Amino acid sequence: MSELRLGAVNLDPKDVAYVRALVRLFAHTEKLDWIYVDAAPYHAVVADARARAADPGFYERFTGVVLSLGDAPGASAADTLAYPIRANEFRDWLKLRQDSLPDARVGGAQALSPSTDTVMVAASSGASPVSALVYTSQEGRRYKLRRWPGAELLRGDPGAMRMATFLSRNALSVAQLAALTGQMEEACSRFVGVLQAAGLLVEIVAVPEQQERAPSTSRPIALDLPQLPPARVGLMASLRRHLGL
Amino acid sequence: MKEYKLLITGTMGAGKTTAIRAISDTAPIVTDVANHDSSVDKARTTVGLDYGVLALDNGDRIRLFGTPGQARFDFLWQILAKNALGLVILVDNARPDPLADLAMFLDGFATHLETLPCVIGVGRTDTHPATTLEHYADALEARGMVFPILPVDVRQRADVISLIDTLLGQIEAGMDMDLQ
Repeated sequence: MSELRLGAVNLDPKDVAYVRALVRLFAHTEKLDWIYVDAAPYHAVVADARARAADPGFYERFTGVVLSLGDAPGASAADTLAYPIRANEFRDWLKLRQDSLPDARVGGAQALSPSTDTVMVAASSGASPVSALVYTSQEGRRYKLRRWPGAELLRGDPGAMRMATFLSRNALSVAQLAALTGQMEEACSRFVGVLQAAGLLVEIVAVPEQQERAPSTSRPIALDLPQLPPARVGLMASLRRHLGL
Repeated sequence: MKEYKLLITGTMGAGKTTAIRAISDTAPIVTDVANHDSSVDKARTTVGLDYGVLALDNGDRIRLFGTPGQARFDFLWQILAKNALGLVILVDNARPDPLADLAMFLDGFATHLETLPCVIGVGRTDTHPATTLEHYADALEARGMVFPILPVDVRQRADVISLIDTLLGQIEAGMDMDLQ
């Protein structure tokens, strides 16, 4: 089966990295035919709605499918996704368009005019890939990194670095990750979602014995958490103070 | 008072001595000699080990050891790695085959790295970008290893602090906390 070429037009680099990671992931997990490409021709492109609004002629110049992020005048509901991108919605759109593009495959991908790229107005939302994915953790599932994330996912964020560090050493649930790193559970959930979408995590389902002894109400996390020896905790704190961290 | 040690290893010229100097409370003790290796543009190199110290407010001391960079001193690596808190591997991206350099240290510390927290700092990525951090991640993944990989300029204290901070995270996350 031939590949379908997906590009991005005038998206912020962090969003491009996110879209690329999702396309790569779904090509494996969902056996989709989409590949991400950096240059035309495209079968479809992902575009920021505000950029589209700033250049209405975009629709006329590009005859392929345009997935609009956010509300855009003239965009069909089927080709519009809320920003930030949710992985499941993006996956569903890829599936939908894969099924509806057989004619386009025969005819080949559409070249997008280079002028389009330059005319469109930059539209950066300020949202990061980490904040762009809402991920619902599942009870009893733990995650461990199988590969250190690239800079486009960590973005020099100390919190993300810390979460990745812990996930590189142990298989942790989202709740455990939050408790150990001091990050908000929601932030941990999003970060795990991003890592999973990028195919960087190994998922480990808790064995029944662990589930049985998991507390159900009071102190639901602490009883199941690893503990550093107190002396080691003190040492780390002292060392961090000494280094001004 | 308790004493601990952190190791900093890497090839000749990777910046081990500079990194220790950046954070040590005392002027580091160095065992440099004139470098006669014409393949490396460096006047002096470490043949024994460099030593610095961090004196903590609770009385504990962190001893910083910079290992000699050449593989012929790998017997020292084994001695130094025993009971170490963690290991920093510095890689110089300007060298002909930095991934092979990394492999040498991963092999040299292999038995220790099963439990020893470790972080990898890659220098000169700005001037020598051919080998990317992704390549390093690939190399580690091929060995089933996951260690933090950071670009670093050891002349910048903040970069060295960032490396150590990441290593502390690795130590906190400790391998002894078996959750599986």
